[in-house]
Parts: sequence; structure tokens; C-alpha cells
Amino acid sequence: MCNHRHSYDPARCIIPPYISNKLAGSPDKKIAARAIKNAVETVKLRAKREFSGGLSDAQRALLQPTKPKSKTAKLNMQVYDMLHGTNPSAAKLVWDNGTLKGKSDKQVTNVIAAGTATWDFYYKLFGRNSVDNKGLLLRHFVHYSSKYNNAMWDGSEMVYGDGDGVIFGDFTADPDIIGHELTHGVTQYESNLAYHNQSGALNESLSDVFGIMVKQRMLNQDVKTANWLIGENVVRGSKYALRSMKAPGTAYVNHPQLGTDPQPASFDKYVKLPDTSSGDYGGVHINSGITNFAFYKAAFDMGGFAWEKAGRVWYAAMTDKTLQQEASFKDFRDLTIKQAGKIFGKNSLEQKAVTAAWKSAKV
Amino acid sequence: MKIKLVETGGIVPLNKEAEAETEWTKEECEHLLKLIASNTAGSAARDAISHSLIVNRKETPIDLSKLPAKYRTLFNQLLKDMHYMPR
Ligand SMILES: [Zn+2]
Repeated sequence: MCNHRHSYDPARCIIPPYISNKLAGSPDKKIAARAIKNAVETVKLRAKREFSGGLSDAQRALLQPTKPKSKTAKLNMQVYDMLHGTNPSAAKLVWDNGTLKGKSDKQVTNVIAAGTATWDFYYKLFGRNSVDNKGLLLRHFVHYSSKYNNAMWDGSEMVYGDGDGVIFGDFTADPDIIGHELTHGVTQYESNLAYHNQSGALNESLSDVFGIMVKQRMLNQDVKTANWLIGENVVRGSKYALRSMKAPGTAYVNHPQLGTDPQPASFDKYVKLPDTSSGDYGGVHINSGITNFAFYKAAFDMGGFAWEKAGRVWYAAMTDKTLQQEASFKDFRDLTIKQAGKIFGKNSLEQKAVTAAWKSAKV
Repeated sequence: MKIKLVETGGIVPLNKEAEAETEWTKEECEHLLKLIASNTAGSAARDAISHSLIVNRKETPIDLSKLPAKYRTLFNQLLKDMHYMPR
């Protein structure tokens, strides 16, 4: 089912692996299929009950999705095939707002699924219409260059490589990567956190935080069933991923080419690097482990689905007009604690969970 | 003259590099670096991969798309020879 490491099929992957195994073992396909459906519903209900247990009616009402600002807003998205070139003007339009215009393949279907899920995530949960909140056309470019080991947001569009097939596979294989790149767009149109040192690491962390929630929502995973791995299908080899939000520093250990994941999980282990490209602009993809871990802890301790409590707090902080371009970890910590108080009440369990999460990350 | 091509950045912050010995003169090297120097200051790109050339321990960010045709074979070979530098 979902064990295929280099492809992503949301229709198949929505079923948790342990249930998929049940199907494989059943002689009667009809009965097995019904059992699976029931099991999926049970998982959903149990997760819902756990997360809403102990809440007041007022708190439950707060957890309802924010009303979309416009009823007419809809996804505006295109997918282009770079045909292994690097010049976007030579790319071929293959999918245009629901209409197939050219040859589709796994990469095209991956970005349609995760790109749509990311738009839906921001719109349904937070009333946000696209990355700029004004319906900006989302353009995805797949098959960039040859054996290109990267995915990026270029300031207005998303670009994905196929990977070298040795260390990295296809960069569209994980919806969290697609959500990550689109969230760089959201950050750009909100606080535009400067891409170096602590503010850059916050920028990176927000992309991981919202990227992982897009994936968890697509797969209907609650905080306990999720593995909190970013790019688990992008790095080849079942033991490896790009980053672990649950245990930063463990996404790859003693990898023959990549070495060991350098992410710290707490502020006392902050890695000081030069503000240059070779220094990862002060370790923006490295020190993001600290704030990733704070989000994981907050989400895990609040229970349920990450986007329903912790996600709301982080979105409110990310879009808080007082968030400065050069914000520090401490600035963002203070904003999340403030927003948790606003959403769930001063001294609420949620606000305490957010405060404790930052303490765990030693911020 | 020894040159080192360095590739940095990306959604995984990995550094790759490769070295080559060239017959360049100091003047030729300076002229080339001026031609291919990149300016990414203020760029809104995120998770982008960048390249730089290190000559005599001086690092210059470069844009490979600006490379004159006569240097392409050398740089393609350098790109092919690149290996990861784990942190
Ligand atoms: Zn990023």
C-alpha cells in the first residue's frame, strides 16, 4: 500500500499501514474492505474524541475552522514540465486548473494532489486564499534539470528535481516538501522573515511545520500516529529522511555520503555558522530543528490533529502583524504564547502546553 | 592555478565540492570571475542551490548560466566530479 518508497498516491496512502496489512491477510476482499473502512472511521473518531475531550463548549467552538473570507475563492494552479531543462519559458504546460493539457506522470499527479491539499489546508482551516491571500496563481515546475537534487521556492513559483536516483529520489514524492515550498510563499507575503540566522531558521521551521501538517491532514494522521518525518521518500533508503521534527538530529545517521543529520533539538545546542551560502546562512536548515521540536512538543502534548490546536496557534503567530523580519526564536516563542492565550484563554491548558514546549526546546 | 567549485544550499543544506588544476593566468581568472559573478543579495528564493568558485582561498559566488562556452567542458567535469562534504 504505502510502502512504495518513491511514489505517493493519496487515495492509497490515506489508509494507515497496519490496516493495509489486514487487507493483505484477508481471504474475503469484500469483508476486508468493509473492515478497513470501519477501522479508518474508528481511528478518525478516536483521534477526534481524544483531542476534544475535556474542552468547554466555548473552546470547541474556537476549534471550528475560520470562516473563509470569500465563498467564491478557488484554487488557481498550473503544473509545467521542464522537460529536464532549466529555462522556465521553455517549459510545457501539462495541467491547468483541473484540465490536463499534456502528458501526466507520477510527478505531475504528486504536485496536483499535494498542491491542492496545501491550498485547501490554508483555505479551509484559516480562510487563506493562496500564498498571498489574494488568490495568487500557484505554478509548479517538475522535472527541473537532470538528476537535480532539490526542490525550491524561487520567489514566485515552485521547482522540483527528479533526484539523482542514488542518494535522492523524486522531490515531489512527499507532500510535506510541496507544503514546505508553498509555505515559503506564505511567509514571504506575511512577515518575510529574513533568511539568515534565527529569523531564517524560523522561516525554515514554519515551512516544515505547515508542510508536515499538510501531509498529516492528507493522511488523516493524528499527532500520535504521525512519524513527523520530513522528506521520508525523498532520501533513498528506508532508514533515512531529510529531517525529523520529533527527534531532530536523527533523520539520517552515518549515511555513507551525507554523514549524520546535524539538527539540534534545543537552543543550548544552537549551531553557529557563517551567514554565507556554504554556512547555510547561519544554519537556517540546521537550527530550524529547535523550533520544529517546540512545535512537535506543543502539538503532541495537546493531542488530536496537529492543525486543530498547535497549528492554529502557530498560524496566528506566523501572521501576527508584530512579527518582525529579524525575529528571534524568543520573539516567536512569545508570540505563540500570546496567541495561545488569545485563542484558548489565559492560563488555559493549551497556553501552558505551548509554554512547556518552548521550555523543552530550551528557548 | 588550482580552482575549487563549491555547491551549497538546497532544501537539505549539503555542501559539495570538486577541484581542478588550470592553466589560467591571474588576469584571465579575474576577467572570468567578473563575468560570472552572481548577485543573490535580496533574492526571494528559498532552498536554492548556489555555486561559488574558490581561487587562492578567496570565494566568489558565481552564476553558472553566465559561463562563456569555452569554459563549459571544464565546469561540466567539475560538476560531475563533485563529492559531498559532510558537516
Ligand atoms: Zn525551505
